[in-house]
Amino acid sequence: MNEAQQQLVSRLQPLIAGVMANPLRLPGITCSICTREVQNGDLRCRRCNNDYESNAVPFEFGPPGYQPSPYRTADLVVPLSYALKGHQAYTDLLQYKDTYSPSKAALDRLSVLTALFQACHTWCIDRLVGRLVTDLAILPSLQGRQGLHPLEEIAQYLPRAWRRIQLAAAPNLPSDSNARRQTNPAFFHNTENLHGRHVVLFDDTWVTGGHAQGAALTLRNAGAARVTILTLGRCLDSSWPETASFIRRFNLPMKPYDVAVCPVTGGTCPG
Amino acid sequence: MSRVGGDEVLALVALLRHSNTGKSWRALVNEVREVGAVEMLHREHPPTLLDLEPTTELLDAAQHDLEAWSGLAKVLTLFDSDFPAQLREVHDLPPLLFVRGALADDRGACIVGSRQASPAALRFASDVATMLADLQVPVISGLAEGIDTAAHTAALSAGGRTVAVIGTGIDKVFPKGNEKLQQQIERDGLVLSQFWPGSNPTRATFPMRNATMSAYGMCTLVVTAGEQSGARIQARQAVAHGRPLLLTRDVVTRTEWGQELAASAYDVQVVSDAKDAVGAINRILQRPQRIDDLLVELTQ
Repeated sequence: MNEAQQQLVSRLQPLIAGVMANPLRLPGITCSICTREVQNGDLRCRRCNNDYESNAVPFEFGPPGYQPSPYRTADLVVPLSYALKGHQAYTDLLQYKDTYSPSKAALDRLSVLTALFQACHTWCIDRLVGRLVTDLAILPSLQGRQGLHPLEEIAQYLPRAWRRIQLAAAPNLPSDSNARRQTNPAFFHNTENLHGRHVVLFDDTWVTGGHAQGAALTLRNAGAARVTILTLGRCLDSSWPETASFIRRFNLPMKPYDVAVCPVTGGTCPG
Repeated sequence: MSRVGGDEVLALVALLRHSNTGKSWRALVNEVREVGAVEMLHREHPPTLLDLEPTTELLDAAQHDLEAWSGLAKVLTLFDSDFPAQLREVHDLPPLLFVRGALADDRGACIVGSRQASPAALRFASDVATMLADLQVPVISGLAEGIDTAAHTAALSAGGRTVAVIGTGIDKVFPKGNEKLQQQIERDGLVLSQFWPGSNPTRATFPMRNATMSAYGMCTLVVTAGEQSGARIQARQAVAHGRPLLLTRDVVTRTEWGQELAASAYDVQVVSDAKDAVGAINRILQRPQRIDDLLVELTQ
């Protein structure tokens, strides 16, 4: 990063410092996938573990120079901020896309969050996964939202080098929103051949990860060698007692937001 | 969030005032925000074999309230199209507002500070308010003694718009000495209350009022404050809302919290005089367009 960019970063960071909160990556304390709290020192939270294990496939050899992952859910999940229910970051994630009264302030903050990630940590994904990102897909809404989704506006601040691919909601989805929370690749529709590619799947809020991981499986079915899910906010809901005690223990949301903390590792950037 | 009409007001009053849900006010409001008041009322009071319409009584009581309030003030819920849009941006918005005066699409600045303020601090507040009035920037404050009164009064005398966010019911005055000022703001500006009519000020109402004030303004300027003052609460709320905060040198040198905030990574600026403060406020009001440019510059 050059000096002018560095200056831009320090001018923009205060705009989100009081609202966004760096997710914690603490083995045995937070889920190595989604960064919510885990129980009994587990590596992964229950939902992530379930999605991970139930989508494992027997090891097989791929074409030369490419080894498919034995686990078909995303190789990496990167939440940029915690979004605690009842706090501003969570409200921003709802209000930026409110159909009735969308908040420009929220859209601005989420754009700043994304642009700062792009400027400071794009390469961290490539390094940790070990393959350059080639494509970008935006997770489609499964609620039948019409028109251009405001997440598209935020996605303009992601690297231009990522080739944009189209991922759509499948027709005839279950009407019950709980049924739609299942991790199901059939909920998404993709027409591209993604053989050997590394796709970033961009989403706004991670609640259970069902939508995002379902879409990750869709991309795998199309041949994607690597899938990284990039999500703006990992929702934390204190009405779950375990989450409430995790929030108390670490006095979350921990602020001010620090862009120097790598969202891929939770600490220093991968070397 | 696209529910409009009288039913939402009625359901909201029934829920918040007459129904015993066992949930905290805030938890209830957060749920109402996501699902709507009518839906929420029915979820909390499902029909039983003995009572097929358990909400009737609650809605009747709410109807009775609304009739009693009809002469007092305009009642707005977060679902109304003329509910101030900037309040919907924050996590702790008031679900209902009682309004006297003229609503407008205000992009103003909050001026807050101690009740007991030095002549110099009062002068600072009224200078800033006068200059903002000249620039047609609404001056928002809390109608308390001291800094608030100085800010409102100066804005009015300069022919500017001023908005008072009060910590009592809309039909109450606190302190008594500001009765005339409150009436004048109702006539020439806008008075907002988030509390039930008839409510007296309590320890709980002022911090709630400060959150609403912080949300209503585009930024908060703390002119002078003590270690424990209400202005400190608003300073923290502004930071948590993502709203810029301005502190005078006086606040930074005299309080530990002021010093901490000034040295923090948050969106806090220290201003040395009234002109400096107005310049900073002006730049904040022009920010949204500039953010887009900065982001493009950073990511191109």
